[in-house]
This record gives sequence, structure tokens and C-alpha cells, in this order.
Amino acid sequence: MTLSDRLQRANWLLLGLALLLTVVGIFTLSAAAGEDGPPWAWLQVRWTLVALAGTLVALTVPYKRVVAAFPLFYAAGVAGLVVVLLVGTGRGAVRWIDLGAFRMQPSEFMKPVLVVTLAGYVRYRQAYKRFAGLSIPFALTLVPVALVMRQPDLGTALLLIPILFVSLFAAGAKPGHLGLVTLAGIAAGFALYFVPGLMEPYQKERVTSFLAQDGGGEAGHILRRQQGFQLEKSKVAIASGGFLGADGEEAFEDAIAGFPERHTDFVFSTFAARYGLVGVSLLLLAWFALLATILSTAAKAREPSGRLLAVGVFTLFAVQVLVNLGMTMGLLPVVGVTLPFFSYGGSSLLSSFLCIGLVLSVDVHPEIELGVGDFD
Amino acid sequence: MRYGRRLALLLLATGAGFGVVLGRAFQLQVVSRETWVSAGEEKRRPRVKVEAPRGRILDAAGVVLAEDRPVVQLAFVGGEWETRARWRCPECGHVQFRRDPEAPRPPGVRASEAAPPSRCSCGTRTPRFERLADEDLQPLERALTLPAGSLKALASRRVAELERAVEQRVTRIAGSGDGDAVERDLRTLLRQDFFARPRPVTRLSLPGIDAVALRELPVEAVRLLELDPRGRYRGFRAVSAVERRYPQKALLAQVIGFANAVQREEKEALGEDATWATRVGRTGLERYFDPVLRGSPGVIRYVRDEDGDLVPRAEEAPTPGKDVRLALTVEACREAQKHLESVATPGGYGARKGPPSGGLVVMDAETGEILAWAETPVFDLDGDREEAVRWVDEDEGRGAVDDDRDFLGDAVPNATLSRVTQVAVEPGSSLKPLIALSLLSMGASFPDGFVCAGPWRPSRGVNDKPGCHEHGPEYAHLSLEDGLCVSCNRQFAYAVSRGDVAALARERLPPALRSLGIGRVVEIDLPRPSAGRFRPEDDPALRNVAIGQGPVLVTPIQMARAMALLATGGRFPAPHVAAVVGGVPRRPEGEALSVPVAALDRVRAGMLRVVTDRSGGTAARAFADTPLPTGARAWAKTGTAQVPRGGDFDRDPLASGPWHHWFVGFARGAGGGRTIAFAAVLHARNEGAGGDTAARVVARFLRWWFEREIG
Repeated sequence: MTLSDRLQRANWLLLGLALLLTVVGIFTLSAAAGEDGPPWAWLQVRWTLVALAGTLVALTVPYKRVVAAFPLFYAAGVAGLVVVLLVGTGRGAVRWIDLGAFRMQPSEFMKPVLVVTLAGYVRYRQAYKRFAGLSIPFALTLVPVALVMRQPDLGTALLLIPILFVSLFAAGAKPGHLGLVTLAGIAAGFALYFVPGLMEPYQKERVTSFLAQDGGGEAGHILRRQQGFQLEKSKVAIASGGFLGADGEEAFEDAIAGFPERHTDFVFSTFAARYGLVGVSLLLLAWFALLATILSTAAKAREPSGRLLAVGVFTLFAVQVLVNLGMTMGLLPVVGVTLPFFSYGGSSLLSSFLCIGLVLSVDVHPEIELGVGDFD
Repeated sequence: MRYGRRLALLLLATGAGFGVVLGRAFQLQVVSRETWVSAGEEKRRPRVKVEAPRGRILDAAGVVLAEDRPVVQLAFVGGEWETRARWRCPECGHVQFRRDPEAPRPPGVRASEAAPPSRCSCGTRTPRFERLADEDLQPLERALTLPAGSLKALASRRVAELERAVEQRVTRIAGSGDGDAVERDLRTLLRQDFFARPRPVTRLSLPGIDAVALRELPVEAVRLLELDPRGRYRGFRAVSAVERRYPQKALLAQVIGFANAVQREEKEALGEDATWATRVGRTGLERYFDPVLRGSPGVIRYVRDEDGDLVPRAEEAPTPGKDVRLALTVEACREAQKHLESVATPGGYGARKGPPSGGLVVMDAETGEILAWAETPVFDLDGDREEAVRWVDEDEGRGAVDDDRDFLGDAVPNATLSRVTQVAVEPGSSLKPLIALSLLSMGASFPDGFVCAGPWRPSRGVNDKPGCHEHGPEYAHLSLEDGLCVSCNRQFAYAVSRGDVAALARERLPPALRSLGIGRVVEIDLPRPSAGRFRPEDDPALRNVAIGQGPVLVTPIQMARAMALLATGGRFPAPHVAAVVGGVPRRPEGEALSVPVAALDRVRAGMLRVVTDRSGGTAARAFADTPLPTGARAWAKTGTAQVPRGGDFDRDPLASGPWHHWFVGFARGAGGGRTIAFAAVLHARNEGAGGDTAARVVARFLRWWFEREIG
């Protein structure tokens, strides 16, 4: 198949939706920075160009080759996480590796790497249909989870786990087995919170702040005031948007004034303040369309690793979007998860577009495996 | 379940999630929009409480005794001191601060916090940042007239103190069972405002430095601190503050008292009426009139001006505290203080010469207005009050007012307790006028013509000298007036315990003395006045009560009030220091007491002879040395409470002292001016007498007072 054939067969709707979200995100970043603010929008444009190039490269490479090389990717991803623990930089949490011209966040790249790894490992095996057979996929997931939590980056670590669950679910693992594991996971979550030393104090504070946000009494009030500052700023910004967006430039500036992370994890709040409920509805629609498009690729794919790739990317985006929007609106604890295509940051954008590239590759390389049964 | 269905289920679950998110967005942006927008408005344009100026305390002539004054202070910020390693960007020259890489890292501090900066706002990247060498702080030290190196020493000490405090908090949190307290403390720690809040430096215990040198900064020091773009003095800040100033320094220290910073619990209790800048009165008038003096905070709201900048606007002006104007004058008090200190010697009971402590109070016998007040020891209200604060804390903890003998071992006795209102001691013979008045008022006869065969020495059981009380045979037959004049203990002991009166005295003397204020709290406008002590049941024969010893302890203010009664002939004034509070004149009601005129005349006659009878009056020598101006007269009584007697004071002070020298009474000038009542006490080792010490203090003061009145 020639390059031209591949480009013709590409799902341009998917790429178009991703670009649309990115462009809207850039406008939002520009608004968040204000007139004399930091050049977030311009820097994001530069990263978008780099990411698009990466997407096209990923699109042209047959995804089966990528999947086949999963041990290499996995080793590189884990190595990146180890390196960041040794020489990483950052305020509070150590998440970045300084490469001179730019900083790289290895945990962002671990997300697509895990999708590829699970697709590569699970595709031809049947062992995961037995309870004991779940151990290897779990081990493959828990290693990066543990390393990311050491940074510490609770949000990214928690994103990796749904990828595992949904990949196994889509591949045909028994829901009962997954349910048991989920219960064990919940127990582990409690242990994480209550056993001293496993969680950083600020992470606990975020969870406590979330739990206390609507609690009555003085304690709830004080926690809302002192610990849920970020969350409260976010809710105020979203509410300020009203139905059609903040009433005038001054009202918008007031809504996001002194709002930390309004360009990264909380960029959605900035968007909601700017464009109101109408804008939020359209954004959700665009997101849902993008996710549905990815899932349609998964449905059309006839080859297991292609299916798993598309399902993995779908899960990654769906969970990331829902967790991000949930935390900015006070539905979930603040855990530091970016909004794909929207949040400022090269690593996140590149990682998201690489995922799109993988899905596009599944679309343009409709491999049919003869002699190999379907998942079911 | 088939693959297709699994995918459909995933899409359905995602759709449901999006539905929830949309619903929440609808709730926030439409349903509860106003609530959140108002909350945001409140946060963005915060209301800041502004402390009200505290009211002044003035004397009768308008001289300031206490006032608020804006100052610039030196503040130390531990967190900034710890991150004062400076890195300069080679491109733009901007200086960034990091933790000193060579300094030891406290637990919990990451190595990355001590690493060089990784980038600059101008776009420059590591590793080209230049580490600026540590500069000495000498220019600032010179401006503050501090020795070289003292600021660094101070900073190290403060950082160590802060770290210790954090450790103590953590330990307390771990060991506490109080959930609320734990939560509060944890919250404070998590907020990290412990390090962020500027902490004014109030004490520098360095050689040759005034202890309070940094409460007010010289202009040069402020300039250096404000114009410090390269962070040379990072860790120290010039902060504006309002200081409570006491221009009269140590004069009237116990009366004026002092106010200092509100504590966390107090602020919580005061609620909206306090800010962190609120000062709370700890002693004296500052404490008694605290609610009047404090005022209530105002509110500033930040609003946007035409250029879009947030500017403060007064939303609610603070209500300034009200002034308190006293009846006394600084001039009179300074005179009283001078005379009191002329006989007293500071240095505690260890000093071998002169009484170490005492007090003098002078009041208008008719109105109860306090006209002059002096005490020793004193402390500088305007200076370093660290020890005074410790004394106050100890007293609060003890919750009781003390006899002066509690300070026998102290080189500097507690100076925050008032020797006029709070320290009660045996009155000795100064109680005799009240004993005589009580006996006569209840219808008992007084042993006139009493034959005193010699000094009353019950401990020896013998009368070893003929004549009364060392005044010779001419006082062998004593009337009541004679007895008061020479202060015959034997006559007064006999007067209450002789056969025909003993039963009546036992029944009626204690209530009569109580009605004269003995053992009762004097309602004065100063905190925690002592009721003294009166337990006649400990001395059934009342012999010791009759001579003002044993179960009777009184304060000078109680005695001055009783003397006012003798002066007015039946009116008990309510003593008060403040004459006008918040512009409203104060006239506390006194009490009326029916006193037989004949009894009063006899007691007054005896008291007059105390001062004037040169052959036997116990204060006559003092008044002969310092005669009153022509026409001025004083009626008084000396007292020397020698309880217990004898012994070696230095070996066992409690077994031999201290003794208390009293001089109480009233006086009137020639021109029919005010009648003033007074009481003076001096607490000494086991030596001296009221007629020699307290009487001389009062005589000198009265002379000045009446000369001024004539003038």
C-alpha cells in the first residue's frame, strides 16, 4: 500500500476532531494568558505542529510493527520513569527530565506505551480468561503505576489502571474476575490513604478537601476555604461563564484572576468561563464524537491488536476527559490530570496525537488475521 | 458477552459519564451561578479588616500616658532566610532565590529545592546562572547600630526557634487526643503560614544593644530594606506596625498597665471584633477598660479603579477606641514616686538597706477620685516587657493575689502586681483608729486612764520597762487619744479582751470592721483588687486583731478608703482612677455609714496628735522635719507590722519578716480645698518603723501638695 493510499484511507474525521479540539484549546490558552501574559498559545501552536508531524509518522507505520515492538517501548517507557526519579526536576513533584531546549514528562508517554504493551501482550493469548492469567497484564501495568506514584503523580498513575481493565474487558476477560480485582483495588486504595507514608500529605489533603467540599459545619467550611482553594477557584470560573460565557472581557479576567493552573490541568474551567454552557455542550459533543470515532475504528478492526489499540486509546481519552472535567467541577478529587489536546504542555499534546496516530494506523492498515479467532 | 456488545457498553458508560458532567455544568453555570459568582467576587475583592486605633489614656491635665503610634519595625521571615542563596540570570540580571545548597536540609526538604534555577522568565536556561556570593549585612547593621555579625546570629537563632516550634507542634499533634485541636494545628502546618507570616523581632539579647532597638527602625535602615532588588537582606523586612507607646515609661506602671498582641484563642473568642493587629490589655487600666479602649475594626474592600487596578476602598471605617482620662496628674504621681523612692531601695529583700517595695495612694476623701499613686518596684512600660509578661502569665496561672512575702527570694520582685490594690499585708497599728471607732460605735467603752506598765511583750511574759511603749511615765495613764498618739499595743489589746467587753467585742467587732471595708474587695476600676484577709476566728481573744496583726491582711486602697470615711464622717467613697471614660464623666456611687460624731471626734483627735504631739506622736518627728504649710493639717496613724519578730532575716526571712511600715490618714489644706485620704506602705526586712519611713514619704508629699494648692 502506497503512502497516498494510506493517506486516502485515513480517518480524517478523527484527525479533524482532534485538531478542532486543539485549536479551540489554543484559543482558550490565549484567553487564559491575557494580553500581556505568557506566550502559552504560541508555544502550543509550535507543539501542535510537532505533534501533527508525529501523528503522520505514526499513521504511515503499520501498527502491527509498533505492537510487535512492545517490549522495546515498554522497557524505554519504564526506563524513562526510572530516570525521572533519579535526575528529574519539578516543584514539589519530580516529573520532568530537563533536556536543555525543553523538558519532557516521561509519564505522559507511558500512557500510549501501556496501550501498545497491553495490545501486544494480550492479543493472541487466552490466559487472561482465567483468573491467574490476569497476573502478567497486571504486573505490566503496576510497574509503571508504582514508578509514577513515586514522583509522585497520583493522577497519571490512576489513569493507567482503567486502560488495563478496559483492554482486558474488551478482550473478553470475565467480568467476575475483573470485579474481584476491582474490590482488591478499592481495598488497596483505602490502604494507600490510611497507611502512613504511602501517600504524600498534599495528596491526602486533596482527597480530604474533595470529601469536605460540601460537608456542613465549621470543618467543611474551613476546608473549603483553605484546602480547596484551587477547586473553589475552578468552580467560580466555570459558574462565571453562565449560559453564553462571561459577560465581557473584564468579567472573564475577573473570573480567572489569580487562578493557578488555569492553562494546564484546569484549562477546562477557563474554557467554561469564556464560552459558557453552550460552549461546554459543544465541547462535550466534540469529545464524544471523537471517542465514538475511535470506538468505531475498534469495532471495524478485525485484528485483535488493532482492536486493543483503539480500545486502549479510547479508554485513555475517555477516562482522562471524565477525570479532568470531574475534578474541575468538584465531582472527583483534584489529582492533576491534563485534558488531552486542550491543556498546555508539549508532552501531553505529543502523547495525545501519537495515540491518534496509532488509531489512524489501525484504520489505514486493515489487517485480517486468518486462522485466528475473534476475542469472543 | 460478544465483542460488539462490550464496545457498546463502553460507549454507553462514557455517554453516561458525559451526561453527568453536562448536568454538573448546568448546575454550576445556570442553577447555582449567582452563589458561586458572589463567592468569587468576595475572594477577588477581599474584605480586609483594619485594626482600630486604640484609645488613649490621659491624666487629668491631658498628658498622654498611653497612645498608639505608627512605626516601622524590623521583621524576620524564617522561610526567606533559608532560601537566600541568590542566582543571577546572565542575560537579564534577574535574581532568583533558592535554598542554600551548603546548608543542612531539614527533614522533608527536597534536594531539588537547593538546586540552581532551571530557567528564567526571559527564556534563559540552566546551567548558566551565576551564584552570587553571600554578602555581609554590615550596611544594615551599621544603620541599626548593631555590631557586625549580629543580624546573622539573630537569624540563626530565630530559625532554630522556628524549627523547634514546628517540632513541638508535631509532637503535640501526635500525642493529643483533642481532634479539633489536632485538625487546627495540622491545618496551620499545611498552610505553612507558620514560616510565611512575618514575625516582629522584639528582643535582641546581644551585648551592648538596647533590648528593644528593633521596635522602631531608623530611616536609613528602612531605605536599605526597601531598596534591596538583589535580595541582600532577604529574610529581614521593614514592616509598618502600630505600637502602643507609654511616654511616662515606668511611672504609674501598675495603674496604666500594658496591652500586647492578641493570642489565637482570644482572637477566636473576640470573633469579628479582632484582627491579628488587635492589642489586648493585660494589666492595669489597659485591662480593666480594654473593651472601651479597643474599639472595633473597620473593613477595606478592594475594588477596580478606572485603570482596572485593584485599589483599597474603605467600606466600613474602624471605630476608634475611646479615650480614658484619669483624675490624677502625672505631676502629682511623679512627686509621690520621687518621695517613695527616696526611702525605698530596689533590689529585693536581699538588699540590706531600705524597704524593697511599697506603695502610696492618695484619693479625694469626698469623691473617691484617685489623685496620686506611686509604687516600687516598677517596670518600664515602654521598654522590654518580657519579664512583665512572664509575671502576668504566672499570676494568671496562680489565680490568686499574693502577700509580699512571696517575693522574699526574688532579686526583682514581681512588679506587675500592685502594692496598692493587690498585695495585702498586716496593717499593724494603722488599724487602731478603726478598732477604736468600731468599739465606740458599738457602744463599748474604751479603757481611758489605762495604766500601761510597760511595753507589751507577750512573748516574754514580762513588762520590763515602766511607762507606755517606750514613751516614759507621762504616758502611764492613757486615754484613747493618748493610746492612738503613742500607739499603745497593750491598751488596745486590753480594750478588746477585758472582761466586760470581751464577749461584746467577739460578737460585734468583726462585723464592725467588715463594714469599714476590712476583708472586703474595694470596687475600684483596676483588675483583680485583693479582698485582703480577715479571719477573726483564728484569734478568739482579738488581741492580735486589735493591733493589726495575726489574722488581718489589708491593702493600702482599703485603708485609704477607710480613712476617707473618717475624714467625711460617714461617707464611704468609691475609689476610682478614671474620671472620664469615652467622654462621659464617671462618678461611682459610694456608701453612707452611720458613725457617731463623738466617737469620730475622739479618734480624729488622737490621729491629729500622732502628727503633732512632739513628745509622743509616732509620726511627729517626720512632720517636724517636713512641716506642712501653715493651716494644713493631717490626721494619721502609723503602723509597723512586726510579724514575726526576731530571728536572722538572711538565714530565715519567713521566720523574721518581712515587716510592713504603714502610714494612713487624711489631710486638709488651709483654704478649704480638697480633703485627701492617703495610705502608704513599705515592705522591709525586719527593721525600721512606719513613723520613720512611710510617714516621711507622706509628709513630703503632703507638703508639696498643699504648697501647690496655696500656690
